Amino acid sequence: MLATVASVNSANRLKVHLSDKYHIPSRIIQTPSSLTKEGCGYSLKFEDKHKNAVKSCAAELRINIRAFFREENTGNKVNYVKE
Amino acid sequence: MIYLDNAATTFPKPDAVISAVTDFLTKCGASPGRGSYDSALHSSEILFRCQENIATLFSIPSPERIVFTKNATEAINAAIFGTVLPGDEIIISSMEHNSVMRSSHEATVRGAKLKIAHASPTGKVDPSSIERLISNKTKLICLIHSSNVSGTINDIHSVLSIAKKHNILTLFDLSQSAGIIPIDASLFDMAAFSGHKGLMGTMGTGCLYVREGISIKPLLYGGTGSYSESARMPDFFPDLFHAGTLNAPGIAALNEGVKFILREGVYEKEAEITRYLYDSLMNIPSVTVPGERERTSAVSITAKGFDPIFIAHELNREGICVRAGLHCAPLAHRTLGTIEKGTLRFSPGFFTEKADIDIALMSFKKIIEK
Repeated sequence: MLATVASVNSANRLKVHLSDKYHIPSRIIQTPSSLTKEGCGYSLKFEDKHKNAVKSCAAELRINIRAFFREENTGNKVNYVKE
Repeated sequence: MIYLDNAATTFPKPDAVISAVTDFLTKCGASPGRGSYDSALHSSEILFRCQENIATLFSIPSPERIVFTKNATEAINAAIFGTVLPGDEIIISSMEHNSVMRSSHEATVRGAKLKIAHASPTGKVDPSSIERLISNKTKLICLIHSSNVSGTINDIHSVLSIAKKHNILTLFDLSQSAGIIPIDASLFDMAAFSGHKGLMGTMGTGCLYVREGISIKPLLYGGTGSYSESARMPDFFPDLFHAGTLNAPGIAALNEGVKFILREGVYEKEAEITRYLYDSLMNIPSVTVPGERERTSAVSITAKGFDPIFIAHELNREGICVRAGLHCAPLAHRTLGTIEKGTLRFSPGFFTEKADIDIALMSFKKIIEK
């Protein structure tokens, strides 16, 4: 799952806090261009089951998550479904 | 060489600071906030870690609102020109460095009004003298925490209380105090500081902290690696102030410098060596030392009958690095009564030993007793 955020700085804060406090691993990726109208965004990628923890973590840090996207693999393509 | 110009920039640097630069340049090299390959993300993480460590050092509640600049001067310019509008009033003190004095003067050229609170002959600014200057047009109070000439430490917390009572913004210049004395910036509005002085980083780094809720315009406009389709700057920190490629090797070094301070607890050693220098100078009859004993590491002196520049030149011949002149702070020299010839400034640092001071003062005495 992806959580899209405004900046790489927000993504880093979220990633580190998730790891330190919730022990949840995540990875920063550039937001796929199909998911952002503004261009050059960053997202945090994590397992779907951690969505609520990511929400809580973002709330604690007052980081605005723009949207969550579930990934669906169809062959060698990935579709993103907004949650 | 005996280096006693730490008020200008600290030297030597901790080993970890030097390694951070070489490691960055040899193993990472990528621009922070640009791309998502591993080394670009690593570069972004260094920047983020540096903000976190600075926030820990100064008890700053929102690390993302610490933005990187090329020096404290740029940070001060960003704070003044980002908040002060034509018709607004700025209050500064008579101990300010030209970084504040010249940018405030430029603000008057752009339509603001400048008021100056006069400090005592020791360089101390009475908070009530600032309060007396406040009017309903006062937008910003800008005050040096510690003088780069006399080392005098101002009571910024009292000034902050006064400013909050009158709903006025404050900007504190921490260039001489950051990393030298403990600072609690948790309630500050804005603070500017160098990365390469007390924080032990490299030249080309500085920071501006802007409290949440303060409306400020950036000094620079350009690419931030975020919101790229928009013609406007992002409205969130730190991106609002991070137009253009950042000095990532310098920020990596600054991060290690801040970690060094957090780890080593440098304050008492710096205070002790400064007291030793001050007391030693006070024992030389023809020497005058403006300011108070409790100070940051700038110890400026005048020696009766001598041009400070001549003494600095002679000391340089002995391998002793000190700075003479006005130290980019003419207002402060007027306040201290040293405007005519300026002063000779000795400024020790964390790595200065008492033996260094002894050798430097032995050479100094030889020059003035010739």
